[in-house]
This record gives sequence, structure tokens and C-alpha cells, in this order.
Amino acid sequence: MPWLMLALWAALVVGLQAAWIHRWTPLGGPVTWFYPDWTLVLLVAVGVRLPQRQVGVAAAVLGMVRLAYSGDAPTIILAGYGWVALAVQALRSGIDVSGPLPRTLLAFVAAVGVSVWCQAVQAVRHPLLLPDGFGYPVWVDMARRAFPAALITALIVGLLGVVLSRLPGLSPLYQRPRF
Amino acid sequence: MGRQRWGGIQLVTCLVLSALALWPVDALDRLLGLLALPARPLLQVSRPWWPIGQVLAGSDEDGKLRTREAEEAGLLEQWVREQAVPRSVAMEEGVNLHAEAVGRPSGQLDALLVRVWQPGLVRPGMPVTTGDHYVGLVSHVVERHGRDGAFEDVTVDLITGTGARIGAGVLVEGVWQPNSLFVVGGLLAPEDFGLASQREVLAVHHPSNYSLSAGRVLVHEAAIGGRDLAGLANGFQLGTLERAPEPDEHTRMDLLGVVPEVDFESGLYQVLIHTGLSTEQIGSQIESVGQRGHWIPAQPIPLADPAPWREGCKLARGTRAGVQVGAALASGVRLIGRVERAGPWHANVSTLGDRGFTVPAIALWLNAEAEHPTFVLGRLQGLGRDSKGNLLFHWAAALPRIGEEPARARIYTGSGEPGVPRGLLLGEADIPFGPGPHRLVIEPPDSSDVWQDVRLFQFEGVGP
Repeated sequence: MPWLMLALWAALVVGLQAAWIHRWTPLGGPVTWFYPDWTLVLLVAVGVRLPQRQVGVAAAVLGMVRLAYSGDAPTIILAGYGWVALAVQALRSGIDVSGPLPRTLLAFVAAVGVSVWCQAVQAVRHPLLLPDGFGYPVWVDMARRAFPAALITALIVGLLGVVLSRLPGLSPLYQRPRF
Repeated sequence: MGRQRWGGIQLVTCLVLSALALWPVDALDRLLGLLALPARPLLQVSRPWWPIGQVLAGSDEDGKLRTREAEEAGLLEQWVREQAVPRSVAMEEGVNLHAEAVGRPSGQLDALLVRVWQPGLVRPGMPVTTGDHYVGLVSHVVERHGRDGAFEDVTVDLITGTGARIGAGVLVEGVWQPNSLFVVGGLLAPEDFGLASQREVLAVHHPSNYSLSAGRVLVHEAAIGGRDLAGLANGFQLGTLERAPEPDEHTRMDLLGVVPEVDFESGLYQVLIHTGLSTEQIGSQIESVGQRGHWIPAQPIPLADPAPWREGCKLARGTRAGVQVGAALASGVRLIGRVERAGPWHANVSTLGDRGFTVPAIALWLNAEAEHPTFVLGRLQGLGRDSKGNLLFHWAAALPRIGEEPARARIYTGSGEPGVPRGLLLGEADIPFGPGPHRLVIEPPDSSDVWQDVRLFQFEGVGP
């Protein structure tokens, strides 16, 4: 049930953003570069509090919600979110990432990583789409494209992460299983 | 299960998914799409806020514009059919059938699938032309039955194929060059002739002499045995005879080639099949043109992709409701996008501004002084949008436009893919001249609502 609530909250927020995009920027434009990745916001906000073994489950649930609204193939999104989940788990083994600054940095790196990953796969599938890089390596150009959205995503996680992780219906996720 | 083992499983899963993302397997993509099905109903959560998917009444001005576009698309159809008819070649007696390109058989670039709506007339060996140019010979004919009756999918072996051969001769200033017969077929490397790699050069075999002068190469097929049908193409053009600057490195003989004026890879839209049959033999069915497919209403669902270079929408129906991969989504005669992936109950649509979007296109000149109203562009590949919202496309220009300055044209969809009917509008653009590749900047039509009256194309697939 709490997983369903997580999916519902994610769908609601992403759906509102979809309505906004198609109402105000149906043909794209500079503003669209600043739209946050809400499923990734929730993944980091919730992931830093979940029992470590459940971070992967959260990645799968939120990846599926993003699939419902995204144009990318399932393998691209699920792989990207899977790597984020692994990174969160690995970091949590060594340091506390639940504070505002660590989770902001974590969200920023995760958002850039997922975005670069999606661009890289698309470029492999359609080689014509490789950016010219303007003298920089291709991956730097991809990261440059990812930067605005990643910045907003990270700021939301930093400022609202605690509130988002405490949305109604999510508290059972953080209870340790009893044996 | 221990933490390390759980982590190991996750790691392997991520590696497998990453490999499948980079080297996609269609069947597995569809399977994973099914696993994501439980998430589809979640789309409905935000339904009250969707601003699209309803039939909205546009402004009067928008209505007039759309009516004009529909009329122009109808004229385009007529002009493209006329473009298939030869202008300067005197055709042999007999009935010639119009046929429309619908694809490639199993992805072969040296063969073309065309569709004719007069079953029972086409036979293997019949020559195929477009305008004044020779294209190839019919190799297979498959009769099929669609919603609107019978039609035939005809495989044409193009002259670019390794096994294709046709007799030819050189015409210089309207006179056949003496002792200039040879055989043409297959391709040579364009770099040997100092041409861009996008160009095609047809190979010349067994020339009667190697000192041939440059000139126009025409089909000159002798009527011998069963190949007499190919003689119906006599007089049609193959291209211009060219001599490579360097001799062939193996034979040390001069290397001759024919540079065609047809884009065999993506510029064949409408062709003519020369049957050699008389009108008495075929009766009254000559000019019937079948439906390419049907339009059904569609309700798109917005994407909320955080990647701004992706553009598209989803459909809450899939293959079980007749949605086909590659099908066009349109508003009136304006192309919106194409179905990129389809599962049983859902589909992904890639729209015009999506990077990687491909479409066969044709330009309709807005300058009335042009020699012919249309110009075949071939396949365009989407590169996204610029900061003004204009569409950016990669145009290989395999057949470059000759001119001295860019010319304004309205861009419509061409033929060659069954899911996209000809005559859907993309927008207006200045078409560059000279050898490609070029970047086309297409200005989409002004509209208050791009999602007005959205329809999805249902088509007859190709193949048996």
C-alpha cells in the first residue's frame, strides 16, 4: 500500500507538470530546460530515508511512473534509475546523506547522470544526434544540457526533501520490518 | 538474502538493462513495456488537468488556413502522380500503371516495394520508371486483400542491386554515339569519381569501347528471348556517363560509371510500371486508386519528460485497438508525429520536434517560376527545435538541388513508408542548394491549438 501511495504521489506531481508543459510550452522553448525531474526528486528524497534494501524497489516503482509519462524506452529509464539506487545505497554505507547539503549534491549528480545516460543512449541509437561539443568532449556537452534541470531538481530535494518524504501515506515505508 | 548478494543482483540487473538500452531487442522492450502496465492507469490521476485531446473549435482564420492546406495537399497528390509520367521519352505502346512506394522488402536498399490497386496485371520482368528515369524491373508480385478490396504489393529490383543489369547506350547532343553499347547495373564507390559519399554511381560493365565520351546514358535493351519486356523501357534515362580520374587498380582500365538523377535510397515515391498490355486486354480498371488507409480519432496524453530534447505524447490504446508502429498522427493535414512503440494497450508517439524523428518528405515550391511544382527531398531526420520553436532536420541531399540561392517551399510528407500517407504538412522552409548534407529549418504552421481534431492513421502493412 505505501508503494502504491508513492506511485500515486509521483503520478500526480508529474501529471500536473505534463498539463503545465502542454498548456504553456507545447512547442518547447528555453523554459523547458528548467523543468525538474520529479520522479528523481522523490527517489532521492525517499531513498535517503528508506531501509537500504528497499531503495531498489523505490527506483523500480518510480521508474515505472516515469515510464507512463516519458518518451524513452523502458530499458533506458529502468537502467538509469537502477544506477541511482545503487549509488544511494553505496553512499549510505559510508556516509550520512540525509542532511540538506549531501542530499542536494546527491540529487544534482543523479539528475546529471540520468540525463547524460538518456542522451548517450539516444546518440548511440541515432548517431546523427551526437552534439558537436563546441570543442569540448561530447559528454561535457551532454552534461551542459543536463545542468539547468539538474540544478532545479537538486534545489527541490534540498529545500523540500523532508516534506516530500513525509507525504501522506508514505510513513510505513520507513518502518523497519519486524521478524 | 544477504546485503551483498542483494547488491550483486541489483548490479547485474543494472548491467543487463544498460546493455539492452544500448543494443535494444524489440521483443524485450515490449515485454518490459508490459511490466510497466500497472503504471499506465496512473496516467488517469492527472486527467482533469490535461489541456489536450478534445475537439476544439479553432478561429475562423485558422479554419481557412486549414482548408487551404487540405486543398493544396490534394493538388500535391495530382502533381506527384504527374511527376511519375515521362516528359521527354516517347513510351512504347501499352498501358502503364501508377504505383506508390510503400517500403523496402526486409530492409533491402536495392529493392523497392510498390503498391498497385489493379490486381492481376503486373508480371515479373516488367520495367519500372519514374519521370524520364529508369528504376528497375519487377521481381515478385503478391496479391493481398485489404479493407477496400484487393491490391498487389510488387517488389522492384532496383538497378543499384549487385545482380541488376540493363543494356544502355550514350546519347550526345541527341545522337547515339556509335559503338557505345554497354551494360549498367550495381554500384561503384562514389569517392572514385570525386563525388560525395551520399551520391550513388551505377557501374558500367562490358563497354564496347573505353573511349566513350561523357553524355546522357539511356536504356537500350535488345529484344532477345524472354527479356523483351525490359525493352519497354528503351529510351529512359539512367544518368550521365562519368569517367573516374584514376584507372581501376586491378584491371588498369578506365573506370566508367553512370551518375543517376534519381535518389534510389529515399527519393522514389511514385513510379510507373510498363505492362506492355493493350487497353483491350485490361478493360476499364486502369485509373482506380485505392485508399492507403483510414483515419481514426485519437486522444493523445501529454508527456512530462524532464528531457527537453524529447517531444511526444502517449496514446491510451495499443495494438489491440489497431495502433501500428510507424503510423502517422495528424491534425487535419498537419503532421503531428508517428507511433514510435506500441504495446497491447498503449503507444508512444514521437512528434516532429523529437530528436531522431524520421519522415520521407517532398517540397512544394512557393515560387511559381519553378520548372516543376515539387521536389523530392527523401528522408529527413529530426534534430529537435531551435530557440524559436522551428523544427531542425538533417537533409542528406542525396540528389542536391541545383540553384544559386535558397528557395522557399512548403514541406509535405512523401511516400515510401506505409504508415505515413503523402501530403501531410510539416511547415515552410528555405531549401538550400548544392551538395549536402544540409540542416533544414522548417517553420511549423501557426496554430492556436496544435492538438485540434487529432487523428491516427491505420494502414495496410506491407509484405505477404
